[in-house]
Amino acid sequence: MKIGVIGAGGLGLPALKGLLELGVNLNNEIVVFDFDKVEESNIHRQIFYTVDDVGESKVEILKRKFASMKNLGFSDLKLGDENLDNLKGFDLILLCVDNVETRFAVNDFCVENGIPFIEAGVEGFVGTVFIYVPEKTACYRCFHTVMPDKREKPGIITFTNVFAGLYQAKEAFNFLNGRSRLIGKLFHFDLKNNVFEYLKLSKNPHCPVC
Amino acid sequence: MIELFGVSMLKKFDNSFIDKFYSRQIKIPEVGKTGQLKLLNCALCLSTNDNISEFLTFLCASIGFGKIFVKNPDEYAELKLRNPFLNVEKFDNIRDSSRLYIVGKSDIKISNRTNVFYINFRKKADLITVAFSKEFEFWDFEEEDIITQRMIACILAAEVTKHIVNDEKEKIIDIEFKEV
Repeated sequence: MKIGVIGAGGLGLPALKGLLELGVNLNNEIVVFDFDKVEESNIHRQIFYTVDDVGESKVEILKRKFASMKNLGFSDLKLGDENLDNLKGFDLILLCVDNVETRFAVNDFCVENGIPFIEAGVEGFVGTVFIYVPEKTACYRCFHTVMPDKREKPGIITFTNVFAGLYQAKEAFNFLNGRSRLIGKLFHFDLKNNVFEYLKLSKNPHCPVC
Repeated sequence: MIELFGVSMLKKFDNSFIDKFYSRQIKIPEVGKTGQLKLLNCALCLSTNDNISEFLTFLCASIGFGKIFVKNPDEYAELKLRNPFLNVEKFDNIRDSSRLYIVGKSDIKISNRTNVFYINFRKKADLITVAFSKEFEFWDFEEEDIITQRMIACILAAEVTKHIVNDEKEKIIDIEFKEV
C-alpha cells in the first residue's frame, strides 16, 4: 500500500510519528508532502523541529532525521489543483493541512479517483477527525458545502494538534488492517471541556462533489 | 508581575520574542499573553520514566514551561531547542517557592507546598481520573498501545494547562475517554 501524508506541520508530524511507531512503514510505502520552511512560530507545536531548523525546508530536515527509515519518502511539491495527479496510485491519504483550499482540492480529487483519505482540523483546544471511504461515506464537501471566507490563522496549542495527528495515524493503521471503526462518523474532541464524541455523518444528497 | 524563584523571568527575555515564538498559542482566548507568562513561570519535576510521563514532559516543554527538573538533564537537552525559555535542571536544584508540578512518586524534600502539586493519574476502562494534590496518590493505567498512551499524555497536558492559567488549586476530575 502507498500512503501519502500531506503537510509536515502540527498535524502531519504526530501523524507521521504515529505511523512509524505503529510500524506502518514496514509493509507499506509512506510519502510526506510539504513545500514550506520552518518558522519560529512553528516550533512549539511542530514536534520534530527545533530553533536550529528555522528557515530550512521542512522535508530536508525530515529527510536527514529519518534517513535510516525504511519505505519513507519526502516531496517538497506544493500540491494544488494543477498537480494533484501526483496523488494517483496512492491507497490512502492523510490530509494534515491548515487551509480549506487544499482540503477542498484534495477531497475533490480523491472522490473523483476513488482514494480514501483521513482529514483532521484543529483550533484552540478543539478538533475533528473523519475518514472518507469511496462509495461508503460522506465526503468533506458533504458537510463543508461552501468555501469559507479567508481569515487569520486560528490559535493552536501543541497537545490539541498532536492529539488529532496521533488519532489520524491510529485510524490509518486500523483502516489498513480492515478494522476502521470511524467509517460514517466524525470524531469531535474538546480538551477544554473533556468532550470526546462520535457524530454520525451521512452523505449529503445535494453535495456538489460526491 | 509573575515571579519564579523570586526572580522575574520577564527580565531575561525580550517580550516580543515570546509574542513571536508563541504567537499561535497566545491567540487562544483561554491562554492569552497572561496565560503564556504563567506557563513560563511554572516548573515540572519528572520523577518517573514511563511513556505517558515522558511525553507529558515533552508537551509541557513545548507549550512553554520555564523549568523542568529531572534526574539527568543531559538526556533532555533537546527540549531546550524546542523551547528557548526552558531551563532543564537536576532534582537537587528544586526550590520550594515556585508553582511546581510533580509527575510520579517522589521523595524530594519540599518545605513549602503552597504552590506544589502532584499530578496524579489513573485509567480504568474508559474512565481517566486526574487529581492535582499535595501528595502522591496514584499513577497507574491499564496496558495501552503507544499511540493511546501519547493521546492520554495530551489530555493530561491540557489539564495541566487549564490548572495553571486558571490558577486552580487541589482538585480531582473524571474524564470519559472512549474510542469507537
